[in-house]
Amino acid sequence: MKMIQVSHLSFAYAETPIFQDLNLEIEGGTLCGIIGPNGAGKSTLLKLLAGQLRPDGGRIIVAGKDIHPRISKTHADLIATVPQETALVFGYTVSEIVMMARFIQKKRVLFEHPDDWKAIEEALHETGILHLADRPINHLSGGERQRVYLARALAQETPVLLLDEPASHLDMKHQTMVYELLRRLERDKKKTIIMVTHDLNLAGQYCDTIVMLGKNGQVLHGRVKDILNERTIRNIFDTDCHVISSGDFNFFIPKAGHFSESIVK
Amino acid sequence: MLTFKKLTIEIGIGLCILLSVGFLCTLIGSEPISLGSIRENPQHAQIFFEVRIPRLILAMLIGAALACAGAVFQVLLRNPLADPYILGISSGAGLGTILAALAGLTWTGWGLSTVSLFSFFGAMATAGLVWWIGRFTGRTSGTGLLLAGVVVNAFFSAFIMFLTSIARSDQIQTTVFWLMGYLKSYEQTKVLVVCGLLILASAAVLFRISPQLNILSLGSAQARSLGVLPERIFLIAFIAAALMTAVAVSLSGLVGFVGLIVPHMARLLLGPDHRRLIPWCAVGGALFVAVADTIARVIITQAQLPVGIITAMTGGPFFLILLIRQSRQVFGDHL
Repeated sequence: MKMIQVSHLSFAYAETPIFQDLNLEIEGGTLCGIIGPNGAGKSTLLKLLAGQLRPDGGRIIVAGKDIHPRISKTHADLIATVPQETALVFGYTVSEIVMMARFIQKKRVLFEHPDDWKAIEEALHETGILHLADRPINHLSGGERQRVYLARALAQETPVLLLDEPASHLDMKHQTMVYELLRRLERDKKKTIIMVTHDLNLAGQYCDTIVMLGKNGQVLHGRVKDILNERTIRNIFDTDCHVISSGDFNFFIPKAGHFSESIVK
Repeated sequence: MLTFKKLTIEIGIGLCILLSVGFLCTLIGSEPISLGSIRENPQHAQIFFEVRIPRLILAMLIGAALACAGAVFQVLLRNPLADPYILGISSGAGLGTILAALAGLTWTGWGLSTVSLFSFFGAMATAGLVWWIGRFTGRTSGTGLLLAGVVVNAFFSAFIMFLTSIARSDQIQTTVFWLMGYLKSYEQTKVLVVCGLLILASAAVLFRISPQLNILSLGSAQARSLGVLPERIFLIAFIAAALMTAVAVSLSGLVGFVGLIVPHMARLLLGPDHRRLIPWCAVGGALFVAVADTIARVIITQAQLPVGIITAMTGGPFFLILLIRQSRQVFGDHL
């Protein structure tokens, strides 16, 4: 089943066009990585999919529903998002932040239902931060904070999960933990997961499909093997790569010295 | 974690403390009275029921309103330095007051003075104006509203100073007192009842949307993705907080600092959950102004000090001590 259907989408920031006639279909229960150079519109696409930005034209259908942003309706029952970096004004604790995901379930108006507690504990356990539950979020490291927002997205219990660079601040171990968790959610809970990432090598190992956005409105979408290769990376990222094969996967490492002249100038 | 039972018990204890302290405050004054003397001495009974009790209620209402409004403006503007006066609602009220005084509209009917009415409508009109300007600069962002508020505030303050400088001194005495924040000793019961109901109703609305306020404090984008309609909650909270501020300033003028430090103290002691903050701000604000007003009544017996002076002079240092202690707990002695 097609979980997400984007048709004839166009969007521009003031005079800077980002997308013109973008078409994209993403299957339900898959893990999809959005990659591309800076400024190609990765985060913008994610915000459009989340219903946070209003497209100039075209439609975005998620689980059969048009998610065009409206003042009187949110899509928090369908789509959970993990923001990239957030500034908190007040020092909420980890469990208070995760609890905010349960608002949409509306079991009770002002106070939590026992089911809410169960869902939160489960989400904290899944992300390995149960021991941090009562700590103020301002006291945590960047990696721990990232997992708090991941836990919140889980507690929201939505079919679709959108993540903006979920592992960018993490060390190798925690990066892998996040990707393993996403894979587990995709397989066990049949979630549709879409994430923006700069890490081609981890994306290549974990994603089912890749959306590659270029700076001039180019869009490539397909299975990892078809999208990630030396040629597309040179075209889209304007970078030459070494390709190293190991097991079933190809790994891409930028060649040294490639840019030296133009950057120095 | 927070349950209905826990919160009810907590607030119940808070109310008991508030009522006991309030009762003690009514016994203190230029004419000390006691439980026994109220029963025996009709003059004391009159002071107790007709002067001290209404004034205590007035102080509590103002404190509760300003503290709740302050907490809400801090969330809406996502700025811990916000207070009920930051958006210029108070200068609108001040302008109303001085216009009424200059026009010689000082009559009183049905327990309401024209000065109070003018300051109330001045406040509400200013709130509307700030909202309207804020919409053009950035719809739900607090920044747009804050900028609009600061500009309107500066403009109206200048206007107040202009009118003050050209007026005769006997005309502006009310305004000068108003700017310092003072409590009238003879507020009519029906005025107190109406104002009390307005403040309680607004506080109830704010409590009802307190889970949404928690979420809104993360910003509009996150609020939306968590299922809160930011525009709607923003408008409801803004109206309730503006109404509370308008009622408070039209009753008492600019009682300063309450709306800034009571929410902060509550947050330092209880954490940022608005389901606890809103009721505790109401209780804490009421307690603070009731005590401050008692001090204002007794510190100089010949003349009564404006309560706003006491709230600012006692609140500041107390808040600083609390802040330093809290920082020590968080950062250790490295500070």
